[in-house]
Amino acid sequence: MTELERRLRESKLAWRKHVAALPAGEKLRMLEEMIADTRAIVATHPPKPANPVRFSPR
Amino acid sequence: MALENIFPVLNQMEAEGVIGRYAIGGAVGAIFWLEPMHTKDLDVFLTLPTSHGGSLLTLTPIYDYLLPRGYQPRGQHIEMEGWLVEFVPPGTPLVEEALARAVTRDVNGVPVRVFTAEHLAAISLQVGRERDHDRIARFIEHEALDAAKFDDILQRHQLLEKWRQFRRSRES
Repeated sequence: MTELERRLRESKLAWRKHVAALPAGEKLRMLEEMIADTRAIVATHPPKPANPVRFSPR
Repeated sequence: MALENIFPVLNQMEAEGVIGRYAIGGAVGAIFWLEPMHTKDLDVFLTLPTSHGGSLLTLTPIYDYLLPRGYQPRGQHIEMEGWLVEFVPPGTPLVEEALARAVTRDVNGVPVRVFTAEHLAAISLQVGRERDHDRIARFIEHEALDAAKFDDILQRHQLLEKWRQFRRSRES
């Protein structure tokens, strides 16, 4: 692990510990936001695939 | 969706004797001690009052209480405030103990009973799926476990071998 990777890992863990120390009500609100965001992504339809015949090489 | 609206209902059910002692377990229980993690349902562990003279445990009083209040059954769950809530009587001595020793936490002014971090980690070890092991790793990473209490639980519930296996798997 490089020094940069180690520092990134440490700062990420520090951030997660900071979040874990928040009041339970705040963390549950964050959870519900996460779930709503996930549902919004699932509800977004991907574009139709390109027509393979049209793009097939001759 | 509003988890915080569910807790007053649970407290009221307990106060009216519809359910016995309850406590939150599972992923939502873990969030009380860790950072938020994705989950689809709320596990409510509880004791159920038995019918007079009988020993049969039944969830019927819960349904009788909640359905007239607009909550809907969804398989083994009841949908409350957009959440799938499962009411689970304890199935092992470890979960019985977790329920008996659960602690009260505050959620925006509402008291909520929740399993201790040590019991949640021990239950995760006992269940033993990959995601349960990930949860134990988070408890360790966050230094959320009291080592003496956790060790005591592991010893009394014959989980030391599973603990050794877990540690070996994480070291490799």
